[in-house]
Amino acid sequence: MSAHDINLSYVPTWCAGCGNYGIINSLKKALTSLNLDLEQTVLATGIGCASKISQYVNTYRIETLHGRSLPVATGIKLANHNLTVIAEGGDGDGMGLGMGHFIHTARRNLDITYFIHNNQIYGLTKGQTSPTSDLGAVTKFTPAPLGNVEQPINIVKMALNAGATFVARGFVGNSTQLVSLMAEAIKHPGFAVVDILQPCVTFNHVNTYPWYQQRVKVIENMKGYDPTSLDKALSFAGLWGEQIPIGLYYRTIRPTFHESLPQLSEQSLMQQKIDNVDITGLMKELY
Amino acid sequence: MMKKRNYTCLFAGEAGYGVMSAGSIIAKGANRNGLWSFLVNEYPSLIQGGLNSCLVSLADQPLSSYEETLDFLGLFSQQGFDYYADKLNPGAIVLYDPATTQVDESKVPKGTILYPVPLASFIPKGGAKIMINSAMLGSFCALTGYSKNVVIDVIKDEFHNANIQQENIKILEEVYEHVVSSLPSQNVFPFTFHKHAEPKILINGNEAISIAAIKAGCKFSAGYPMTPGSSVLSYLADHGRDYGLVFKQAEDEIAAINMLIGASFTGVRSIGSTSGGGFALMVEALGFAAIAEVPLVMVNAQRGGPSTGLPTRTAQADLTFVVYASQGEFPRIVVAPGDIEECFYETFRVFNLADKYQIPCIILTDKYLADSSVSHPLFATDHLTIDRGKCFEESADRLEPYLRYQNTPDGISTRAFPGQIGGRHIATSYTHGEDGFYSSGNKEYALNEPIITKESMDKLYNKLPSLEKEIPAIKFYGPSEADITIIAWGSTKGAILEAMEQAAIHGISVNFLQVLYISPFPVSAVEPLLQKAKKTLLIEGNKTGQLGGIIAAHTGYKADHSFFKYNSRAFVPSEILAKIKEVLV
Repeated sequence: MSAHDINLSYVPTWCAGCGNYGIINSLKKALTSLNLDLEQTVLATGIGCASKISQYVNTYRIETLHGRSLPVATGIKLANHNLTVIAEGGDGDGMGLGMGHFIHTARRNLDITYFIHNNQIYGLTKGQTSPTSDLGAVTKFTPAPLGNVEQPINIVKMALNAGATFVARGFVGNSTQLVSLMAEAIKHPGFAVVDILQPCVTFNHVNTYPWYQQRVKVIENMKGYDPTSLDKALSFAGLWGEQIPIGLYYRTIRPTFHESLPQLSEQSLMQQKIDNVDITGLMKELY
Repeated sequence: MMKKRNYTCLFAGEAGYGVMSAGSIIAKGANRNGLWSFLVNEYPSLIQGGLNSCLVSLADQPLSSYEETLDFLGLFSQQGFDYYADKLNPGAIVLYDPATTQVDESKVPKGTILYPVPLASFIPKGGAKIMINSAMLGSFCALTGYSKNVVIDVIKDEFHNANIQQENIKILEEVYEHVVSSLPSQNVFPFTFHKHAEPKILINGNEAISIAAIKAGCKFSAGYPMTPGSSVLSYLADHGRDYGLVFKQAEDEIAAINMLIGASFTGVRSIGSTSGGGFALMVEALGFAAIAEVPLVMVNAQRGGPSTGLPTRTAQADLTFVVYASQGEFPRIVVAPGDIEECFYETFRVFNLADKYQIPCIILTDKYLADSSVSHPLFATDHLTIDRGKCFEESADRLEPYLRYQNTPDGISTRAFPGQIGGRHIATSYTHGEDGFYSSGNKEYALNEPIITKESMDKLYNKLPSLEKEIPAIKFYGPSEADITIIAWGSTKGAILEAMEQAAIHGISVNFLQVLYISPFPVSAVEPLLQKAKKTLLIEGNKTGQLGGIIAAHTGYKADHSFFKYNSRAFVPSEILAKIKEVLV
């Protein structure tokens, strides 16, 4: 098996037409385009339809708990910062249980890439409201006529405000752009977030392929675009509904978490020798 | 045999006056000069005010517990007098500042010596109020005969700022002179200092666990502050840079344990530390570590519960919780160290066990053990070796696929770490087959699901026979036959051993079964001892007798008598001795 052999023989269990097929293809293309050593790559996912992606990609993988991919990814990165660490999961997993971790991972600027499969619905539990469901969305837990009465979370805005250093939005229907965004995000030194819009063909009958296709606009072509400006990025992030900008919103460089720790400057924790640690000095402190 | 002689002093006052620091200086000075110290802090959960106390018991032989019977009481506040006035030994000395404390002679035993010293008046104008503890130490030395120079030597080491050091020593000397010149010398301190004694450490349970973790090659820790577990985390944070260790403060305990799992999955030994409330938040991930077979070492330093409970007080009420916590079933190690020695050596051991058996390990202590400092000989470490268990050998050209969860007779499979060539796999929180794959929707898997499910559960439990052989699950103290057998776990050990010595003086024979590893429960070690016991007394720091329940569940045995203490304070030998006598009447 070569270090670049990305495919596994397991057959995905996603519904026919599910956006996750497009996302896994884009992920594989992005990884391949970067010529990454897959033995040095770890994918940490949560739980949900999206998170099943770790079952089908031939890297090191850990399928964590619902909502907990980011703290697990943090532990992996701090244990061996030479690894490429990617976290992945759905909008429910990441913006529901995982929201606290999302904000803190962003402000710490861990060198982790985070792909959020955003279909605005809970799929694996069969159609409940997600934190990103639109106002009025009719779901199993928010039945008609009222529908969802909560303001949805805008992932891009949230990422920008929390301090993520690479923030993008992709659409599974634009795979060329998505592959390039995913590759750029993986390359980015710092916390990189890609909000990936995808339809759920089974439970979300509003935010469909055509619904997105009519609304997505490539951000680079929009007036005033400047990915070095947080203010500009935030103003584009405010758009939703008639126009949904897709592409790179914002990119900046600041020291990553592991770079700021002097004990990691020479070698990773994993590279340290652990036999015969001398504790004489520690005992002396207690005389 | 004579009853152990000791000298017990207690400093009490509001938080912010250096009560703890006064006590620790006395304890440290004695520890460095051939004596043995035992220091117990009691403090409420607040930053200013309240009643803090620091009890220091000193002896010329090792101490394993304390009694609240005081030879010296140093008061920084009225509340200190009100609380401790009835805990004085005959002839005890009470030192107080008349500006803050009124002592009522009718409240103290006859023969108590009451010394007023205007402590606060020795602080120079504008000086920090905390310097009053140097005034306290100066008068303590003058009144008791405890060597002033020993105290000054410790102060010189403790205060790194030269000005602060000199200011404090000046106050100490002034007060000392004042007291010596105005009051008759007492010289009641019963022990002699030995300057060139064998070095010893003065160490608490959390420090012993932290040092053992560093010795065991732990390189990562993550946690969220929660008393009394936090000081393991701050110890590791303090020493991280020197020992190439990273401590990460997490946003909550859920994040903390998941970070530990991530680091451990990657191959780095990791430890967390919390108390019951934090442990409660970690429970889902505990099961994740178990099913993913990621080694985990977690300290739960118990405090009063349920809920926020009593943040700064001791209890032994999380035992059944940590033994059974999580949905589903899986084997885990729960070790309850009873003293400093066990905090150190069992922590080192569980790091090896966690790697070898790839299971979660919980070190269950409590506030009393975690936070009380005891004189202890240096830890011998020559015999300690690291065992990482079955590790994957890198290979670019292996023929058969690597199976992370391969079924083996002992239930243990080979671990590959990310980055290793040829070891790519999935670790997962789902019930899974040998390759780590799960999906009920997958055709091939679905057909075999009942078989895979049973096999994967059996695999976890197949680890138990060899694990059970390896762990020193119980300890037995005293004669093999005795009038009464005490059954206990954790930090009650010290008071029980001391009570046994005193019982022997009274002609009562007592032995003691300490259950050190409560999970997996050591049925075959415990059962024969219980059958042999004439009469048993179960001692626990909780309301319901949790170890008793676990013993009954595994053996059907019910202790003849029980002594449960759940008033937020640790057991002391005198009350155990009294209970033994009561039971034997």
